[in-house]
Amino acid sequence: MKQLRFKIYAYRNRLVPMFALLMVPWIAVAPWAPWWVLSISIPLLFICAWLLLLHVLPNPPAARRSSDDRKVGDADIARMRRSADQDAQQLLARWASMTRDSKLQLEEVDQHVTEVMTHAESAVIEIGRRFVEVTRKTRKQVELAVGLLSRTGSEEQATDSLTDYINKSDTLLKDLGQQLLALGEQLAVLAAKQEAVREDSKRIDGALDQLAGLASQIRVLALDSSRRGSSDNRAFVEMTDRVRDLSMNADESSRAIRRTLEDIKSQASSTDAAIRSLAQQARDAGRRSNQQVAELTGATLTKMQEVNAALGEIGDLGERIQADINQIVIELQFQDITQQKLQRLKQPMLTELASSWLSMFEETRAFNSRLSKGEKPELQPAHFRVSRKGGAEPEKAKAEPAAAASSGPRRDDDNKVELF
Amino acid sequence: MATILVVDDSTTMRQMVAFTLSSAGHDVTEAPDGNKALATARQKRFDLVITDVNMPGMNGIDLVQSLRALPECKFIPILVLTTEAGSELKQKGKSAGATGWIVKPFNPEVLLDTLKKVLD
Repeated sequence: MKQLRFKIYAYRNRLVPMFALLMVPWIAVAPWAPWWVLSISIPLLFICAWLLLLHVLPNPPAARRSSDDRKVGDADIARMRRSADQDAQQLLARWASMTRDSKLQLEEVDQHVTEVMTHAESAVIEIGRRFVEVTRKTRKQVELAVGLLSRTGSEEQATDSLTDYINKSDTLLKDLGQQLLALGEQLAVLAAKQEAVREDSKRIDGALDQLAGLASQIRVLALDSSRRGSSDNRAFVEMTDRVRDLSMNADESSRAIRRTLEDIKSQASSTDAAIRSLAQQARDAGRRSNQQVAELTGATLTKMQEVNAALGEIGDLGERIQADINQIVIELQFQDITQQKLQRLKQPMLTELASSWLSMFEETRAFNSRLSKGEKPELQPAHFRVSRKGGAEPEKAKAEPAAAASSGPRRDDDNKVELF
Repeated sequence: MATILVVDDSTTMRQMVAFTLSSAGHDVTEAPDGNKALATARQKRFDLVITDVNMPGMNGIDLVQSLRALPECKFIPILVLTTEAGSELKQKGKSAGATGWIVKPFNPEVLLDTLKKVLD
């Protein structure tokens, strides 16, 4: 049946005219033929067609060609022609096999290309995702830094930043300075009052000197009066006048001293009140300052802890950004490695395919040439390398890139570095 | 920081290595194949060479051998950065005079750590 199929295929162009040629005489006589002739001729017609197909159509099985060697007998020529038929069938089978294998190879390349495209797509998606992450983290870093160091945040953040605490400390120190200046002025007033008291003390000293002088004069008068005794009344009267004058002077000095003492008492009282007031103010100011400084220090420490936490977060974000960038670098490498491997796979495979087709073409042409010359075609052994899946084996070196590409680049970091 | 020669026929890979090394403060010079790398190495002194294996013209193993033949490159560290991980090829690289073997794709941190080790 295989041989019949081959002949039908080989003589397909002659089948229709041949059948028509057979049918013409039968159709010509059929209308006038009796039924029994028809019943015999129709099967005979098909039997003749069958015999013709099997034994007549081969081109020509017994006839000799002008190019045939005259020394070779008809039987040998027929055998050689049959051998040529078998070779032709082998060639066709190999063509079919090579076509099928080429199709498989091209499908394999297509599969690798699809894998590469899928990988490239996933790599691009991963890179994009990482890039978005990097952007988001960088933005958060910037926001944290701005929140810490500037007033461009929201109102709530603006009144609670480290800068505000530093400004508050500055204001507090300025207030403290003002209060110290006021205290100094008040101390100057007190110093003036003490100077006035010193002046009053000098006046008292003068009055006391006057009183001492008066006492001395009175003592002299007393001695003089006891010496003169009863000498005369005139002298006694004179002495009495002088004593009266002295007494009046002493009285005047006493009043002056009293007034001075009253002034001193008043100034001392005023100074004491001023000192008490000043001391109270100083205590109040100190207490307030202490309280404010304590509050500010506590708030600043809290803020410093927040700053440290924020700086730590900024540092963590920086490390995560670095990790994302590293991952982007790795993904780009995967992309590049896969492309390179695909290139290494594609080029030898297509070259191999083209050389196989060329080889088959040359072989077929030589076969055809020899066949047309009536020579015995000698098929070369199958030297082409088409398929790795059946048929001839591919060269090892060319198979390696394909295997590498199909396995894809490795993603683990183990044993990737080796120092000699 | 070190002056480093990076040799790879892939522009992307070369730029990735250069980016990683430049970020760490190194001075990087690039070459697309072994022949150009050899010419560059003759003109300029480097502290380290990083080379691929599969390159057009002169491959990485031959480049290592040629660099070792140069007096100025006889003792500098040479790292091979490649997708190949076969022990036979590694042995060839070692015999040619390579200092280390790193399999692609590389992790930037690992690459910098390795650099630090070989430069120290």
